[in-house]
Amino acid sequence: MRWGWQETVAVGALLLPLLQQDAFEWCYWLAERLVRRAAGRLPAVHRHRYREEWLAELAELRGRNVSALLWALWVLVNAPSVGRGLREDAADRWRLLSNGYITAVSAAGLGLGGWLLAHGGVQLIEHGPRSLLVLVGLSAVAQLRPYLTRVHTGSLSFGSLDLALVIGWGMAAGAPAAAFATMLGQVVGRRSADKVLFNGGQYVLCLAGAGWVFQTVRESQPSSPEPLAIVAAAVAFTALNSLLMRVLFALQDPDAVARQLRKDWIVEGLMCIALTAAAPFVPLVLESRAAFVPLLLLPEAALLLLVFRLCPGLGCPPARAARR
Amino acid sequence: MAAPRMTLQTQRVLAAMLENPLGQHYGLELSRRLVLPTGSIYPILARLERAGWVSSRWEEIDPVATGRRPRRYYHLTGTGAEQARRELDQTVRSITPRWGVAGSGEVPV
Repeated sequence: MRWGWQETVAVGALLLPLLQQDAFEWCYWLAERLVRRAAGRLPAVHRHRYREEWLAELAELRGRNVSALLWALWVLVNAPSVGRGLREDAADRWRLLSNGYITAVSAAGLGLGGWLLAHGGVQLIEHGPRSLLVLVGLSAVAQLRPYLTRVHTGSLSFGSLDLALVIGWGMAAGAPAAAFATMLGQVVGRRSADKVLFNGGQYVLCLAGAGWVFQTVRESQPSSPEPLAIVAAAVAFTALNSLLMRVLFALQDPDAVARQLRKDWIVEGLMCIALTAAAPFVPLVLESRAAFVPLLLLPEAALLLLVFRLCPGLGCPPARAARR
Repeated sequence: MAAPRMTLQTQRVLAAMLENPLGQHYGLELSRRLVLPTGSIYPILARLERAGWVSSRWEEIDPVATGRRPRRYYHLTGTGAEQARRELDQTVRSITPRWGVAGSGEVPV
């Protein structure tokens, strides 16, 4: 007997209801899978709730399995939108924390700066006011470098000028003066008020820390050469500066911080080496006034050149502008 | 908390909920009533809940006895109902021609 079209139709007519029933069941099975997949696209804390909610509603469509499948498809398509709505909660919390941190650092730093000036800082400024003005001016201009050159270099700036201010005029006068220079440079560079205030506070805190380390090392080991205390101050300055910035980055973009961490530590490690290399020139600058300033800037200038020419990727953290 | 984005669909969801401000609603029921694309109701409810206009709770049933999973019910909060009325009134006013008949207060659905 030959297999003809009549036989095909007959067998098809017998099998079709069975296949249809199977396909019908498969639709519901697939819909459940899609709903679970959709819930998997949400932030982890919300997954269970939405999976249960959607499975409960899917169960109402049982018996209309093609509709259930279409419904599940729509849920899957819209899951990223639900996720965005839910993630904004977390983003709001981070934004609040970040703003609180900026306010706290600004208030603590600027408050400390005022207190230092009131407790002996103003008198210290009177020792060599002209040199202090030169260094403050240069430090302010250094803050403008990213705007003048239109090249952002992340946390790189001429910190040796600020370090010289703290070492030359003491923590009480040097830290507020360096912070003032930073803020002045940034105001001229038209940075927003919150950034200017944060960087001012940040500078007072890390330079006051560096000044304190310098004084402590020098007093505890009067026989050791001064550059050792300057190196200790440079390390303290870099570490505190980096810590204050790192906390802010972590609050502003928690996801990006892990990616950025390794690269930033390399840059900040190099920065610390450059500051350490500049340490012997600090007493020279302070003794001979401004004549040795180019020597002071040499290590950091070399570092900037290295970063620009050899590893440009290191110098341009994508998620931030000049200093933060 | 910031107000949710007032899309036409969001307004329709709010209007449906305001018809029975004390009522309990669930996603599938709302999307059936409003003939909205089914999945699109959940982003709206998530945003309204985030803004504090809507609050949700699990249905209190015994899944074994009833033979089904508990639903997630949504209802307007006091502030949410007030804000929703204000937003919808504002929308009605903004789309009513100045020279025409004043808005009847109906929600533009």
